[in-house]
Amino acid sequence: MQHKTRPTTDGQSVSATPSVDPITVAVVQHRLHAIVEEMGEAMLRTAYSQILNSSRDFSTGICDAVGRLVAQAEHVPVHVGALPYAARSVAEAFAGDIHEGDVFLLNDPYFGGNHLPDVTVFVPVFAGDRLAFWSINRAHMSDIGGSTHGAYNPGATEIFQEGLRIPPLRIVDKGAAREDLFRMIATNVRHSRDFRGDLAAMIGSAKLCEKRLLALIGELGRDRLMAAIEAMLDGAERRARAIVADWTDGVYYGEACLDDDGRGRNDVAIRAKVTVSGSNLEIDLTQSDAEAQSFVNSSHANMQSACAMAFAYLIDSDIPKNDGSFRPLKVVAKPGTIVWANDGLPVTMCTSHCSNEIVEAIVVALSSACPERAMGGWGRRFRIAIKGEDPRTGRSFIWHLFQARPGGGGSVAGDGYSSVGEWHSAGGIKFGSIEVAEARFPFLFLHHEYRPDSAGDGKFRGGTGGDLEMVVETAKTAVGNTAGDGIRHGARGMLGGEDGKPHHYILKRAATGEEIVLGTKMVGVTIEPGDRLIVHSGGGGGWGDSAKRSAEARARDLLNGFVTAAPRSRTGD
Amino acid sequence: MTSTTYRIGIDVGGTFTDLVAVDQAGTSTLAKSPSTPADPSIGVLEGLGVLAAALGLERGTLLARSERIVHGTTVATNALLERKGARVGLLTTEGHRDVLEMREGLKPEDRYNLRLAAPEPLVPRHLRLGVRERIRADGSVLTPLDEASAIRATDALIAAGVTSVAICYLHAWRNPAHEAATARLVRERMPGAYVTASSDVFPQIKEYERVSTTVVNAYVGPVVAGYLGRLEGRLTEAGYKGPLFIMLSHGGVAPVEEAIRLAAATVLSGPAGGVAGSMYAAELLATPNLIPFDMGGTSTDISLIRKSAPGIAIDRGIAGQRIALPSLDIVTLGAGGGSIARVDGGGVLHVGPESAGAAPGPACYGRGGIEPTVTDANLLLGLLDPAGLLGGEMRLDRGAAEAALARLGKDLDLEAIAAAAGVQRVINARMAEGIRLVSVRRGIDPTAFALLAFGGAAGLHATAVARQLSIPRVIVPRVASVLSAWGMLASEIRFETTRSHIGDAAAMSTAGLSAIFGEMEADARARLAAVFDGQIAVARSADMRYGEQIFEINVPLDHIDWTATDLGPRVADAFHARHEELYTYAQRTNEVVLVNARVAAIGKLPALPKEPVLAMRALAAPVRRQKIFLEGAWIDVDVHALESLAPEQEIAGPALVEGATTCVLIEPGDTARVTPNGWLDIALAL
Repeated sequence: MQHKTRPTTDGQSVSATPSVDPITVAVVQHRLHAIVEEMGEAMLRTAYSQILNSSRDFSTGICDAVGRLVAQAEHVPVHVGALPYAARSVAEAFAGDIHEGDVFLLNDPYFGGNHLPDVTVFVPVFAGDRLAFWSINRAHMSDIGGSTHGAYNPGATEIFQEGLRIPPLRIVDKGAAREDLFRMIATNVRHSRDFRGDLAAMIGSAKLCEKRLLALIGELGRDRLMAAIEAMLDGAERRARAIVADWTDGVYYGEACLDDDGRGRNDVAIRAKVTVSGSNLEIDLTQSDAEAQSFVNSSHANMQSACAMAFAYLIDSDIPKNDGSFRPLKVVAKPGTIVWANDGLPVTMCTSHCSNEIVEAIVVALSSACPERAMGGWGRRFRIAIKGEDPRTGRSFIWHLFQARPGGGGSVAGDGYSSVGEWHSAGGIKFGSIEVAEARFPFLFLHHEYRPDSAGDGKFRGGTGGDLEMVVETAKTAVGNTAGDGIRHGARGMLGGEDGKPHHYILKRAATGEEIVLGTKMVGVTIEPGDRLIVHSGGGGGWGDSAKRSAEARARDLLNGFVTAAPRSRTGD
Repeated sequence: MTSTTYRIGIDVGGTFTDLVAVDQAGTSTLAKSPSTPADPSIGVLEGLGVLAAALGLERGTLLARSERIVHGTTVATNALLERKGARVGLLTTEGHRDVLEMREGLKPEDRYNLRLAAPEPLVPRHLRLGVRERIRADGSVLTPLDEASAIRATDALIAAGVTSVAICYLHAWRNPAHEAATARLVRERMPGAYVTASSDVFPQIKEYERVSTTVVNAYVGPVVAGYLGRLEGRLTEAGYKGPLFIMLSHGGVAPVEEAIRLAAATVLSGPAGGVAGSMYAAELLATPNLIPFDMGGTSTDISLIRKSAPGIAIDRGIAGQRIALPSLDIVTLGAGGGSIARVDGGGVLHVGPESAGAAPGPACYGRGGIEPTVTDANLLLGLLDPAGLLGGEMRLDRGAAEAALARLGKDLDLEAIAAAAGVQRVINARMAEGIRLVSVRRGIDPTAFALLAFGGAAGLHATAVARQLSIPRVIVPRVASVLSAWGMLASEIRFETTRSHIGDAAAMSTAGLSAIFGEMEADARARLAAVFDGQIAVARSADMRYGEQIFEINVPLDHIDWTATDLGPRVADAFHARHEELYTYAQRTNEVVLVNARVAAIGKLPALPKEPVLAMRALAAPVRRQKIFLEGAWIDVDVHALESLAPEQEIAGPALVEGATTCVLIEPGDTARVTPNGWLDIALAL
């Protein structure tokens, strides 16, 4: 059994620094937040791939020299808390050999990455001749090599089938780009031009952060800045602790299950034993099921992220996400389990699954300790990628389903958001325009609306999932891969609320009218011209006893068609 | 002898209506009168009476002698903010009625807060009805419009008490026929209703932007129509025969009918006046690069004038609603003089977004407010005169401010005065971030700009904010309300047209490109000519991006030779150049996609006479000495009265300059010079 090691400070930044006035602390906190947000904006505007510039699947942040998270922009929640592991991995690999003008790269989940498609860029920032910060950008590349496009490979039994592994790597050496390495990496991914464009955008945004940090160091001096950061981290810790201290002490248990591992094992369980003791919180995942021979495993850093994400959801959203706010949290886990796979196993789906189940198990456990803070479950991810040829242009295309998103959970504040996504993205990922999709791909979207009767009932119900019906208007056979979970288990209801309906995806053959129910981990599904994809995505979990739902809310749901009346009238007769 | 004629600018704010009359010699006369929020047209007419009196005229005489009225209004903004718009019904393509509420799957509010209720859309789901019809991405008709289904949906909306109807079908940007036919049908069945179609409001690809903009139009349209109708009626009744122009969000003005048709384009009508005024200032000062910094009581508007042109954004929203129409790029911060300072549970000081507003107001107003605000901090620091704001109309209670800041200081372990200095530093840091947003983040270096400070609270913060950003120059106009009104009067009539045309720019033929822009230009000219008989200028531009990018960049195309045989590649080149300018690199071997063609028809109104310069007079002596707390110590400084300063007079900092509506802090080492128009032009010691 191991647990998370927390870095200690180098002993200089705390003891050798002057005391700092609280006003400087406030100014530093605002400035650091503005810097990471600016990094994110630069990235959004210059990135090349749709997954980055439209779906915004990246994160920007700053760690200090010893890898403590100092500031992080609010992009993809599942990246929160993961960056320190990556920063420490790079710092250790190059200890004593880190210089101004260097840029480092990493993606390997066994070296502090989440999963292979998430590539991380690090720029060291120096105060004088001393390393002060790491400017970090982690982005989900549209491809990272491996045997299937986009890295999601339900067939993978080892990580080598998922793509190119990059351990800590120096890609720019004192200002000189190591072109041979750039070329080597770009050669090993599909769409190498886009990859290089995205990498350039990532490095650009990290260098921008370096520039802003150097200005801040120049204004305040290193010692004052570091002292302000210590005080800022301590402030975040105090706020987080004050919240945990309010929770009822005790040991709580929660469990959440994946539908299956894609290899015939059903109900793979994540078990959280959560101990609340004063202002401390321990999450023990050691009783989770064994690792799988498929991509549903989690890497260590991703498991830490998922725990930090659950914690961030349960405390107040305006507490800065930094090392201080996560100090009350201790995570205990064991290698060889589904939440922490041994080196060599595939892990690509882990940012969605089993991340979502880790969060859900923790929230279920704590729903008795802090019921007003727990929320109904958010939906699960069920993606499908279609590869084919557009008869209008003769060009090949690859399309990823982002429409028909599942619902969010209900909470003490009211009903959940409809069709807004999953625990790990929490409304941070956009599906884009159907008009643009029809112009770019040979598809006709006949229907895309909320899915009635999909939300988990409760005092406050979940949000609804989505319904989608589309015609694939290719002239030749196309191929689909699926990757996801949640056709057996719906988003969890909390505190008496009901579960949301699970996903239900169908491929309807044009020729025969046959309806094929799609599984969540399929490779090489043939799609013939004119076939229809009919998607019903899951709703969010309800919160609280449904008997307490108000008559007004029920009347409003009926009026707006979020629920239908008896099945007879639903058919329209 | 001909009698004096006037042009009148009217800016209706939440509390006061500001009016300015400018005669043909350029002399301006001001009036201020209370706003009447229930029907602002009443306050406007009362204000016109006050204005006439200031000129020694009857209101009817003033109006009869006025040749133009330009009006900035917050009617649409308030309808959105207070959710007091029309009851709207939405007709959509069958199977797609949730585009408005789905917002492309995003939850833009507070990412980590999963204990939020989803916001209510402007049109609830039961008033969003599908109509059987379908157009394809190429504009061809897949399913013809089923009129019976449109009639059924319309009747259902009538039964539900809807008074305003928005129509938005898929791909109507490409083929508006079904929307047009539906609009005709709805108008027949609902005479008197406000009916608006997306192909008329915003004919661009991307259905969420289009439906949201169209729904906002339907939501505020009846409110704007009602208000402007009443205002026109009252003005006519009072003797006015000239044209009434409305300030739009993009900084141009439009006649009343156009402002009603495109009511969603009036949501920034209020702040647009300040930007228009800043444009006017850029011309008057021969300073083409300005950062307008309008810091008021509860919020601060920041924008950018570059090479004498304001920044335009197309990704704006207000009150959570997406409005995709071109609008001035104004960043609004939820912080101003009335912002409340507080310490969070972690011991970190925050200023805003909560504001004490006008009621109860800062603690020092003595109207029951007890929370420490920026104004309280400024008073304690000696920067405001306890004898009062607004020329002594209201005394300020220093004791109350001190008590409030002492309470704040207790949470920070600081003396009240140190807490006050802290509030100043934090608010200045926030303002500097706001300026970085409109400059640094747009790839623009703010040090090449001058900060134009107006709004009641700007003067005490402008020099410190400018110093943080190494901006070397701060300019303070003599009377800010005159600035806005002058700007409004100097604004052009502007009709924007846009059309989506997705294709490889370089591959487009000269004939094809010329035809698209030519048709749009003819359309824009015709619409403008219907209401304006002067000279018409035209501006062409296009929104473009690299193949796989998602954000388009607007690229002006006026300098291009439209007859060149290689027009397409030239258009693509203009994009490469602009991309390089913004993001430091271009990718010249990559495909450039032209997404939207834009044409603006611009009607030049007769130029305004110049604001007259002040007569030379003797240098004014300071009116008193005052103790202020600066950089950790109390010092004595001179206080000058802005109104009495002589042109070219120089004031060395540290000093305070008091005007009727603002107070300006000149810091040690800085030097203020009085311009010929009586403005302050401050050179900072950096």
